[in-house]
Amino acid sequence: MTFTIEDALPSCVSAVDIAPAPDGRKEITAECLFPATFPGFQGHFPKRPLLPGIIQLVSVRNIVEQATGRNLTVKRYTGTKFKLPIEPGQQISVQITIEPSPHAIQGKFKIRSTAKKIISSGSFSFSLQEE
Amino acid sequence: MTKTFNMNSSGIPSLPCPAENLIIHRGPMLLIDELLERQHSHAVASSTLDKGNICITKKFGVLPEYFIEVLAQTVAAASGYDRLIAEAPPGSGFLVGVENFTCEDFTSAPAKPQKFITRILTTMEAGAMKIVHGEVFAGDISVATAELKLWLE
Repeated sequence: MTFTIEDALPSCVSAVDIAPAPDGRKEITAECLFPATFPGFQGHFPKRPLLPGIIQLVSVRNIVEQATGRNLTVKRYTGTKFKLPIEPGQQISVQITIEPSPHAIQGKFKIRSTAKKIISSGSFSFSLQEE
Repeated sequence: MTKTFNMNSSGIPSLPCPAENLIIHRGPMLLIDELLERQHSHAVASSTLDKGNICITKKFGVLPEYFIEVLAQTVAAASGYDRLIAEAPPGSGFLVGVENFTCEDFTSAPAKPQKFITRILTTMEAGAMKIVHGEVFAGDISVATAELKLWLE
């Protein structure tokens, strides 16, 4: 059986919360912890496992899916910056602001360490998938 | 482990060259197959999406973010090839930025091996930092584009 990122990701995400924000936007928060067994660490890299940047982006999309109850695919990522590494077992906090519209969800995200340092940030536009 | 390389008549490692000889990614996170071309500021690599790929979705498609990683690994493979010519081992590298990534929706594509070709063009280089324009093709069709910023040893 193949152990995929999509299979492994949900158990790494917790405390997903969504709340109204000014101007019709919504604020989503979540906590993540990726254990050493997470498939994204396998071979990235052999001597120093680090969470790939793309897993951070997949996590943001997964958290927005959990918070909104919609299946999403990517229209665009831009302004994405990966500033600090994420190691196995490291707790991280995700803060997302979204602007929902009928056919898409646009927003910005920040991922922080427990010391509140920004690990990564960026903007996205997700399309709503047909159910 | 001792690696062997096929050399051309000029003593340069010939292409295609297996990705595992050029980058340090291994196991399920080694997502590209081979470096196919390397000239000046551009490079071409191949990747295969089969059932064992960790980026496969439940609908037998692929995570959109997969295309960012194959582009980044193509940049790393090009750098690894340059290092190989200089008789240096593959170096480490990190994706530090993504701009204007867009892609076709492959999240529910049919379950069959799908071959992708990635093309990258370095548009700016300053020390260890590189900015590249990258594009992924399925056959002749462009399925993803992005500008990536990478730090490469």
